[in-house]
Amino acid sequence: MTRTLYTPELCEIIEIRDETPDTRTFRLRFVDEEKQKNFTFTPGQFGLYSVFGEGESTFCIASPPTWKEYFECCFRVVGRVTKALRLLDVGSVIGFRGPYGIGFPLESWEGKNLLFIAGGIGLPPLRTVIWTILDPGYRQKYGEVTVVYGARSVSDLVYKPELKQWEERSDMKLIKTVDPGGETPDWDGKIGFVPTVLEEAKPSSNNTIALICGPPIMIKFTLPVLSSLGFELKNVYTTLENRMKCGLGKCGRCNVGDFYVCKEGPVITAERLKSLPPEY
Amino acid sequence: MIIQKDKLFALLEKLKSGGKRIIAPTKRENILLFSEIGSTDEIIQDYINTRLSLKGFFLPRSEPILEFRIHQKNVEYTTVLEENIKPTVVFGVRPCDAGSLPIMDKVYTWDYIDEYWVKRRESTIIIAVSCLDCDEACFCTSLGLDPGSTKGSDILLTPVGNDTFLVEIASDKGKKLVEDNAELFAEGDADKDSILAPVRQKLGKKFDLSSIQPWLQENFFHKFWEQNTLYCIGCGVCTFVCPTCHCFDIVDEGTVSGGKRMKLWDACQFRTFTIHASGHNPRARQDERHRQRIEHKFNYYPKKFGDTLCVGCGRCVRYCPVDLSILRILTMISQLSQTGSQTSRAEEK
Amino acid sequence: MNYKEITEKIRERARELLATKKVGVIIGWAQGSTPQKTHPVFITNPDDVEQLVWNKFCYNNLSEYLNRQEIRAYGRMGIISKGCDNKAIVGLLQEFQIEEKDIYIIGVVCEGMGEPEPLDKCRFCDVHTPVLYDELIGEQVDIQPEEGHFADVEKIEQMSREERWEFWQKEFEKCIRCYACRQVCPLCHCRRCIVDKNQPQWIDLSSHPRGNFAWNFIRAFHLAGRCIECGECERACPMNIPLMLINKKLIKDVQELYEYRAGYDPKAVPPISTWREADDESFII
Ligand SMILES: Cc1cc2nc3c(=O)[nH]c(=O)nc-3n(C[C@H](O)[C@H](O)[C@H](O)COP(=O)(O)OP(=O)(O)OC[C@H]3O[C@@H](n4cnc5c(N)ncnc54)[C@H](O)[C@@H]3O)c2cc1C
Ligand code: SF4
Ligand code: SF4
Ligand code: SF4
Ligand code: SF4
Ligand code: SF4
Ligand code: FES
Repeated sequence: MTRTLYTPELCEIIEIRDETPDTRTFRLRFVDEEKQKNFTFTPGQFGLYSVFGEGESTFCIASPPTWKEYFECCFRVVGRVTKALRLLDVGSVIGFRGPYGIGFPLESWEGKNLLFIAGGIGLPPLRTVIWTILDPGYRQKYGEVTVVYGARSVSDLVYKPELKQWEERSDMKLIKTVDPGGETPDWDGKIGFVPTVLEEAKPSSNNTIALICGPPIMIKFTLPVLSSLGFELKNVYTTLENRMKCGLGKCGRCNVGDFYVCKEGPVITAERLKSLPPEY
Repeated sequence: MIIQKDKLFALLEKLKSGGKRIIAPTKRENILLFSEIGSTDEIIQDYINTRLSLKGFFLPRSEPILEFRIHQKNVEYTTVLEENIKPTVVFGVRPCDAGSLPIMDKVYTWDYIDEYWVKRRESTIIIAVSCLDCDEACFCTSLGLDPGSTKGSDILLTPVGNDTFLVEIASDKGKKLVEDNAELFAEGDADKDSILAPVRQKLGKKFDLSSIQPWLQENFFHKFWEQNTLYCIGCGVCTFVCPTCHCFDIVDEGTVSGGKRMKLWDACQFRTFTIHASGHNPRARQDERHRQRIEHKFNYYPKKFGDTLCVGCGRCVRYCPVDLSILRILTMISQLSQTGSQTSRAEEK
Repeated sequence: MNYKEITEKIRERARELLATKKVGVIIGWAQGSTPQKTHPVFITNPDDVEQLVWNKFCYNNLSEYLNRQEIRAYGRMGIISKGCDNKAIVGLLQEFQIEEKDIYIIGVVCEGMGEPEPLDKCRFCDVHTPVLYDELIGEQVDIQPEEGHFADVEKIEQMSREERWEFWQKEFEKCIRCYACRQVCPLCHCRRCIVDKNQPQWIDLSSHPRGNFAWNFIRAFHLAGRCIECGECERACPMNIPLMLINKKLIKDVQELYEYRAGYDPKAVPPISTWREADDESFII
């Protein structure tokens, strides 16, 4: 069959989980077994997922490359494609193109501590990194692993069962929080905004890489905290979410200045981001 | 080498009967457009330039890239890509438009190859014709191009008198075409420079290109943008008529049982171009969107690909409904960068 | 008053209105990139009023800008307004898009735009003196509209169904969906145009015949009884599609069926937002 750079692969939805009232996880497997076997990517890369007849949507690949049998995405229902995705059942097929973009430079971080800071639906792009480095084959290559994760309310936290697993692990530390007023009577985490909670936790910036992903407002208030903790901008990574169509550097939609998010991102250091125009 | 006009038209007729598609400037409902001709009689020869550039032959205004049928949970799809593109000859291309093609090639072959563009490019021969006249909107010479430049052409013809063209071979494809039809060409020469001297003089040099990029890099936040581009109404005219604007959208069309995935022209001037699902718009104001256009053409693209994303064809200047002339913007920037450096020199004292 | 005198007067009034802070911005025309062009300009500083001009090339309908957030942010908007643009202000007031307190209208008596030939619309103009203004520049002129306002529409009406189809097919085929016709129109003020709505996708975005027909007709229909005939869409269209022919057909029908012409009375209730028992409904199939 003729293929072009815009031709998707078919993937079957093999499991659906509701993370929050408006976000959903799909576990996907390529219909073509060979494709599934050969599918590799770097954590942080993204794909274009399509519902035929409605269009394509960009999501990060939310599972780690160490999971070989399937991969996952997690999306919030906001518009045409995501609404159509939400209507699909297990067994339906969707289109997928990818992996695209440049992921996190995990190898260059060997020997370092990792601090993850996520807000709301910002966890999926970091979850892929977290599970990768928690893999037995990787874990010993990195130092301490700390995850600070917050959401507006308890029901807005994604991956709740996994948060539990992370809490129980001895090789990492999870600090979870919800915004004031978002707690439930049985909430056992912190109450407070992510930047405040981070400030209190005082993670060391020594030999540490910080990864931050979440709503723009959270990022805006967290960066100064990281600076005050002694993090250099070049050791702080985030991912950009500019609107995309091609994912391949052709359609001209995703650029922030001369930085094409789809090709040179979506992962970017805070240092590089600071040099770009504020068009994200 | 030269060719007589009747021989040239005979060549086009011959190529046509040999199975090639011939595209040339023609009148279509009162406007001049490149379109496929049935006979050389339709060719218009007296023109500054066509309304639309020829980019639509390589990147159509809209085209299907995928077709699909859906029955319940099953989807069948096929990629739509013309395998056997009809060999095409485009005649009457102006040197600016020809020059736009290698500029676009760089985008569509940047790591990933866009077969739609590339395949059509490969099967097309460009016969350009030098300009003997221009209008106030033209500014190729300010961008290092010329009414007689061969960039992007396979053959360039320069009119000599009424019925003769000077022939320049500009590529292997062009060479082959001439060799295969050698009987139609004749020995001969003409002084291209003196033929082009009047139009070159009329074009002049309208601004200093080398001053543009440094100014753009420094002045993203300058009030210049608000003062001079806010009246842009955010239509797609300048970008759609432009031979070097290459942005597109991908959307699905159809019914619950099947449809097509389409690739369509899109433009950074539209409000909806960059809007996020959250409603946040990285370029919320029209002057910001207009700045993107100028920055892309004269700063971002040059940084990435070492060329300018504009060939000075002047279409955007001619057809902008509010006369937001890129030529004027560039001239102003060029002047600003001079006065700017003077002030800073004065400050040093 | 000649063009030069009117220009001087416009500058004088603009300077005064800005200096006394009666308005935050003056929306006018400035010299364009060629002598036959002008471009819209927003003057916020009294020292910049020399940029303002009045000549035979003040084509743009500046009322388009009254609805833009970026311009409103300057404060009360002073607008130089010729008769046809002015009708758009009437429309915007009628449709509650702007309030009188937010604008200050400097009406200008207009003898017609375009040279050597006046624009088509000017031949049939009955608003050389604007209807609505806070102050007026220029002396009233007595230029009667020519006969045959709808002659071009009647020509189309006389075509057979097939001929008409073919005529429009050919014209709409050229449409490149740049939406300049919408962007330039002062009355196309929907926050989200139907063509930008994707749930569902009402109008195909492709420029195939179906998409183009849908787009061009819906645009025109949505302006039925609202189009004030400034002709900007047709002027802006880079593909020379005779958009005013469709608009004028609708203007003619609304006039014949509902005895209504848009843009003359800010207090009038437009037919599109009212219903009377006697209304002709024969067009509803
Ligand atoms: C690299 C990258 C990674 C991403 N990862 C994820 C992820 O992991 N999970 C996730 O949920 N999202 C992610 N996103 C965001 C995601 O791509 C979008 O939310 C998604 O594409 C929305 O698609 P849609 O078709 O449902 O929405 P659309 O229908 O395209 O639009 C959604 C909303 O946008 C607004 N909108 C659209 N058009 C207009 C208009 N003309 N005027 C005004 N408003 C308009 C509306 O409010 C509409 O509801 C990512 C984006 C990028 C670039
Ligand atoms: S510059 Fe002119 S043509 Fe381009 S978007 Fe703005 S108004 Fe339209
Ligand atoms: S920007 Fe304008 S002048 Fe430059 S190539 Fe495009 S249409 Fe021509
Ligand atoms: S100017 Fe705008 S439409 Fe043209 S190529 Fe650049 S981003 Fe795309
Ligand atoms: S229609 Fe009337 S008011 Fe408008 S430009 Fe023509 S003459 Fe002037
Ligand atoms: S201005 Fe003309 S070409 Fe552009 S969308 Fe409107 S009708 Fe089509
Ligand atoms: S998404 Fe098309 S260029 Fe980046």
